[in-house]
Amino acid sequence: MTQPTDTVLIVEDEVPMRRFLRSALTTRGFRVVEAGTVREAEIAVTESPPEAILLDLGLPDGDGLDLLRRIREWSSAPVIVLSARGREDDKVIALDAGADDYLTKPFGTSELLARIRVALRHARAHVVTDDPVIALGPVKIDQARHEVSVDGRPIHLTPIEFRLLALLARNAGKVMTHRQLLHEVWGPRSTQHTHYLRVHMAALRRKLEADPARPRWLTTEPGVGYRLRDE
Amino acid sequence: MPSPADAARPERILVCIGASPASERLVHAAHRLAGGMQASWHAVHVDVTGAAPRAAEDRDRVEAHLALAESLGGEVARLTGRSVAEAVLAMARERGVTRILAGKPTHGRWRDRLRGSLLDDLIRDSGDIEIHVIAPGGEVPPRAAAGDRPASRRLASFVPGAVAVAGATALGVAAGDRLALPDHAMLYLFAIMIAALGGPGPGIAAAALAVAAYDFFFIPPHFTFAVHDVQNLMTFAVMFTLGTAMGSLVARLRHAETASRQRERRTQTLLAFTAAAARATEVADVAAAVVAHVEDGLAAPAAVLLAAADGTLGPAAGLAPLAPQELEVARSAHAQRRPAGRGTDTLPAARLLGVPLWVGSDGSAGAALVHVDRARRRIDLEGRRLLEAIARQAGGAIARLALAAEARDAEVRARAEELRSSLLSTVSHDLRTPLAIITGTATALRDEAPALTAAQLESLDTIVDEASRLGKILTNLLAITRVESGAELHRDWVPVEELVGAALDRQAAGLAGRDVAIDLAPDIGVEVDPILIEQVLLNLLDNAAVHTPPGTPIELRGFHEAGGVALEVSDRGAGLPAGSEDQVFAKFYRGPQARAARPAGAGLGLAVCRGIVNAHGGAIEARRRPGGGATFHLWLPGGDAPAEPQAAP
Repeated sequence: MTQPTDTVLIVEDEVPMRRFLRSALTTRGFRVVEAGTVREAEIAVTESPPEAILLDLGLPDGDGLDLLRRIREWSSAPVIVLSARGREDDKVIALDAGADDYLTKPFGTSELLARIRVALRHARAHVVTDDPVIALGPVKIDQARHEVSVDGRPIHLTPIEFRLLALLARNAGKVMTHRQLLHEVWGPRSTQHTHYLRVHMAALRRKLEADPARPRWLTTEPGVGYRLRDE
Repeated sequence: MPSPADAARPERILVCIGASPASERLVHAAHRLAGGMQASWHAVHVDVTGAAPRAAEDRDRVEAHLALAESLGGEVARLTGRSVAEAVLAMARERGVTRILAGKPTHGRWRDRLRGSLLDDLIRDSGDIEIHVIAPGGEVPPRAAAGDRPASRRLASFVPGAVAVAGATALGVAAGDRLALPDHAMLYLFAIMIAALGGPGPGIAAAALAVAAYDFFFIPPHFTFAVHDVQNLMTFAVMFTLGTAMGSLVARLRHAETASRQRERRTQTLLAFTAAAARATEVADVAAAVVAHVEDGLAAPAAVLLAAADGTLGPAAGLAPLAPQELEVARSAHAQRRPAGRGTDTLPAARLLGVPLWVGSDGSAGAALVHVDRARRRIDLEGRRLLEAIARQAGGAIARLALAAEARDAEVRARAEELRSSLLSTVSHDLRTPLAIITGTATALRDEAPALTAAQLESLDTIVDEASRLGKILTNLLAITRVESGAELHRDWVPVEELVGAALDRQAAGLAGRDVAIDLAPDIGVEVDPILIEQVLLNLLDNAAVHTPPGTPIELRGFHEAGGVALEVSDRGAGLPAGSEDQVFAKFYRGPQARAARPAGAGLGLAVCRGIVNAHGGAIEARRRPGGGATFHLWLPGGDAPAEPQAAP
């Protein structure tokens, strides 16, 4: 899936952390560019445009978010934010500001690589034409005919549930914030009404999941949003 | 005749108040009538122009009646007019009054003949306004005679008139025939004018004296009181009229002057108070200013009581100590939001008058008391108005200071919150970064290094597991810091299923090999901060996983209970030692089993649970489970899902 030539930019001020990230990525054949400060990151982004960016929000000068916004002005490379648990607000702000995903510290190599894979796939999906039928495990979503089936068994969804599921499926593997989901499904005026979203997600889980309290596909990212797993 | 359109006209009642003690009954009658008809009402007193000034006692009574009417919710007015009926009817028409209340006369018939009857005039000219006549109840005490100055001063005011008349006589006699009769009359008129400066009494007396002297000395036949010429009677009449008219004119002028001086003084007092209240930086300053300015403006001792946060009144300035009855006046004024004590219908027997320190239209910051009995001047309606104006301003100033204090507190809180937040973010960063590096490096080593022995792999797993446990402790520490510092909860309605799902997902490794039975009532949700409550569930699951033998089942139940939602995590472990059900929630508490199960535990998990649940207004308790094991029962506010939202078109 990953091409050996893919360049990943690591923006992280902690040298040991950079060392771990670099070793994990280079072993898997990625080219790695490192930046310890905002300035270095800006130069790196222009000089050798990366395919993906790992961005630590906890930069000592604290303007990781500013950097993210500036990167977004002229680069669409996927950005994965590195942040700690308990900083959910920061993650949400970063995701809403254009970050593609996040990793909660501490994380292991498998988690890191999984996220990078998803991010790279999504970046390329924009180029490839969208297939109207999305298949994720037992779930099949026909976007053109508004039909959903689980294990070949047709499932009846309300229009809202369908829109919600289709949106998550188009971004499969990627976290979607409450705000992004509300904005797309209910419209720009409803972005504060998270409980709407929770009610409909619960309904979707009841229809799609074998055990809704232990969701296999529609997972909750506490304090951030939801993710439709794709593996 | 009332026209059909009048049916919809709101009822308005006007009651005519006089100095007669019977007027008090009138005020109460008007209050009752207005209450019954849900009408607004006015209480009116008319000062008749040209009438002799009233006795002080009568003036007090009029003031008291007006004050009573005001305290009962009536609108109060003092009118001036040529006749009571005329002034009353003019106001009644202007205000759209539908009924006029007047008292039955208490005086003799002769007075009506002489001055005209108020009732006759009212009834004749009232048109479609109804007139009610109320009978005086009980004994009506006799009224005081006019004249409010002591006898000695009253006598002294006659001296200038007598001297002037004597002077005119002496001058006339000395001049002899050089002056004609009209010149003598002029001299006497001059003397009468001088006398009338002392008021109507001295004026009339001087006029009588002058007529007598003029007749005796100058009108032929001299040295007798006989009068031959009818023309001279005319002169006498002029002298009397002049004496009376000038006397009452002077009296009224003097009265008006005193009144305006008093008004000016009170305006000054009020302005000075306003300035003092605006300068005040402490509530106590305002209270002291109230006392100082009330004492200055009303010449009476005063006190201020302020309401504490719990609503009780405490003395703040002025008169102290206060008797229980006096405190009661203040309490009543503050609680009822209207004056109490002397001159009102609440506790009228008190020696003090209390007014609330009004804040806005329905609040009160305390009460101001004035010792009416110890006032060096009478406290009339104007005085009460001054007191009320000061009280209102004081209430406003106190409310302003309270707002300012609140803003200061909010700022301090905001700064504390900012400090806490930056502290947490520093701790979070500084402690988590090394943990993340340890975890990351260990996993990288495990995944990448070729040919590791089983023991080496196990060591790497231990590093990862212990780093992750340290991470959990850190998360709990941060959570308890957050809850205990009173940080705001980000509450939202969350399905219980979602919280349980997220917690199970995060605890998946710890629960491996166990049967976790989940039983949730359909559609239940809780009004909580989802991250914190997920942490609670995580801790309870972790607790169950660590303290019970591997492979024993765990049950998680959720159901409606007592207007909220109950969540229970139950295990089949050794259970809790009797009497330790509450202890387990203490910070750093670790039971004997806990120490055995996990020597390095921090004893924070359950303390964090209790802190978080309490912050949500919920409750958590540990129970010994029938058949063995422990149940952790938590109750949280919540219920069914909120109303179904509408999608955008």
